[in-house]
Amino acid sequence: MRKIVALLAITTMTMSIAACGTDSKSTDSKGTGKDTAAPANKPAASTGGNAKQELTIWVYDYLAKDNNSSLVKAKEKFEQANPNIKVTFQPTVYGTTSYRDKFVAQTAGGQGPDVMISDVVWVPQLAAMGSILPLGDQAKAVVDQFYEGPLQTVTYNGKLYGLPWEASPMAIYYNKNAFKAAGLDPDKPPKTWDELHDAAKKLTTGGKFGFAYMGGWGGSFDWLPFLWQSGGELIDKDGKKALFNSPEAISSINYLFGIVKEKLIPPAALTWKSWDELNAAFGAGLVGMYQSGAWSLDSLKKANLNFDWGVFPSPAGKQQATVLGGMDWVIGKNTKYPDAAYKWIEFITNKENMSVLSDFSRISARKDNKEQAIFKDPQMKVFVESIAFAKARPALTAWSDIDYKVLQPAFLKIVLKDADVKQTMDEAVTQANEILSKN
Amino acid sequence: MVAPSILGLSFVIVYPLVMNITMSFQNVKLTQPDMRGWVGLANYSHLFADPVFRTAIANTLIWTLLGVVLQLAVALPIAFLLNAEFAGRGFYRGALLIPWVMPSVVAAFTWVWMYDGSFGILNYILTKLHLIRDPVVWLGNPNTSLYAVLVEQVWKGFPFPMVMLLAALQAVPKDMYEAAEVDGANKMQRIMRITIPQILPALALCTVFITIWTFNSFENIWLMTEGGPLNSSETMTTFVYHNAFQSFDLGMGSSSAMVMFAMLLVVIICYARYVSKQEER
Repeated sequence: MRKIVALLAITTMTMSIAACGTDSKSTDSKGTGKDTAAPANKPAASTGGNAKQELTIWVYDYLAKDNNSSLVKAKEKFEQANPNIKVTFQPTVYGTTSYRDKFVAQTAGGQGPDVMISDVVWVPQLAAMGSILPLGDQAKAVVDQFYEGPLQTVTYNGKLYGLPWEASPMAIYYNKNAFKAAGLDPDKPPKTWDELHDAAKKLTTGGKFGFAYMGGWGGSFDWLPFLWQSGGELIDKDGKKALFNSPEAISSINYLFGIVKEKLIPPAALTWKSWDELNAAFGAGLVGMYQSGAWSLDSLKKANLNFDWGVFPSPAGKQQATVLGGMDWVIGKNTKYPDAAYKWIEFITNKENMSVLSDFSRISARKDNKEQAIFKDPQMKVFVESIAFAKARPALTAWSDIDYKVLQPAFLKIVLKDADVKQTMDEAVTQANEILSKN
Repeated sequence: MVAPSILGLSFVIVYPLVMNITMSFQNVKLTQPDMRGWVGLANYSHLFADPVFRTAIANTLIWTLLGVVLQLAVALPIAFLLNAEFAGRGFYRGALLIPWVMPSVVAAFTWVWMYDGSFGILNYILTKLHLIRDPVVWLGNPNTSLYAVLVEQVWKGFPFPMVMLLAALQAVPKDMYEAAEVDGANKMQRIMRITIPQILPALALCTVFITIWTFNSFENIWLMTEGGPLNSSETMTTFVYHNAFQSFDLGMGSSSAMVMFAMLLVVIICYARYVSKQEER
């Protein structure tokens, strides 16, 4: 008997461990079929038109830190204007794992928020999965209020899957004191690849470094501006062929990862995976320049750095270019109130509420964003002007896969194993084409 | 009496397990919901053709074997030490449990900081001792990442076997030693003939437990390296996670989880045979 009990206990334990990876998976097979949780959930909703419609909205945690947040204030305004809608924010930590994956798993399980903020790069993937809803015809009335680039990020297969909210091009932050100390003119920041390289070299001295990047991800995001500056492209217009082994692309890879190999970046950057780490390294004076978006402005300003710093636009290779990040508003597929959900996203992206973004030093994706108060800020101006030459990443389901499985490993191989650039990128293109052919 | 627990168990174990087995033979991609269907063994053949998966298996074996041996190698001598009488023994018994009770996230990030390539204390000490000239990016170097995380695993994991073994040591009847001493057994003989056989059941149980735990470690690897760089610290757990929750390919995720399960089964069977042998005696 003891034997059996012991055996049972231990099998149970291992199983629960081996199966824990599958727990959430098994729920979604249920969820993709039918929404089993729906009838039990808030039956009050179906009792009549006057019942309160409750919207659960996921926002990045820092946007709704306390009741003074302008986003929370906008919510209160919305609730006053729509007394039958109750909005509950669920502040969620931004990140592929902590935010996107959580949303996918919950939505597949028949749950998930009614509305959420999404990183612009996730929208095509979420749309392909069917975990967010396409917007109805009512959205057609407002689309031409937004810039083309941001609008592309919510468009998948010709359908609109959300409204753009924030547009964040990248630019380069630089330490003016370090520039002076290195004999560079802080009022004339680098404009070309050569000047940038030269500055990075001069700034690298005595344990300080000229440049930085998010090496933990292989630096694929940091590389995009350089790719486009070189005149190269990621993927052809039909989304069928990868183009990042072109001579232009190779030149951009040689340029950026040349800076890495020359050790003009701190060695620790090889493990960096977050903006916080880059901001901290810049704030500590460890690096003289780094690429980031307006999302770093707030934390740098709050940090009260003991040196002068500024922002200059991405340099020109063949042309000036940078990458566009930002946020969109999308509607979860399990919402019971799609109309109320749409009402919210139209409300929060309207002209009046541009000031919400201003309070977080962010740029609205609206064409009339020039009226945002932040435009007087000289650093902000750089970002605003960069929108003109900022490009969005391809709106492809496969993009994340190509990024994670092909580009990042390729760049890591180039940096860590000193792999031949041309050969590595040829292989990468073959792999990427295979992924593209399956989608 | 047992019905409710069996019902509960079937919900949280049997059902997910059956689902997992079914999905491992299906194409289940969340990115392509309409492509769902049976694919036979295709997931498994993809899996074994995948060089990353083979790396993950090799890393898992290194990780588990080395991890278990090191955890026991640290735990056993300390258990012996703590069993001896000395002043402040109680304090050390408590203090050595700290790694075990520390939340895994806190532990992982503490180690991330100690390993840091610019500000880490480890690099600071090693450069001061002139053992290295330039700081080493322990977690960002494919040659060191797996072992760097493994050190954290050992640090975090050794207190459990230590406590178990200490308890077993204290349960060894004192009169056995006295009798052996009367019979003229020397210290070595007493350890080999009395202590080791007496604590063997506890040691076996410990080994099984920490093998399973070490095999299944996820959060420290994930928090410290996410299996990188270049899959150098990719284990089965991070592989399953990458597939299932980053590529949203649940079919592949399930089939790799099945391989994991099969590997764990080997450990269980070994233990089961050991237990039944014990009972026959």
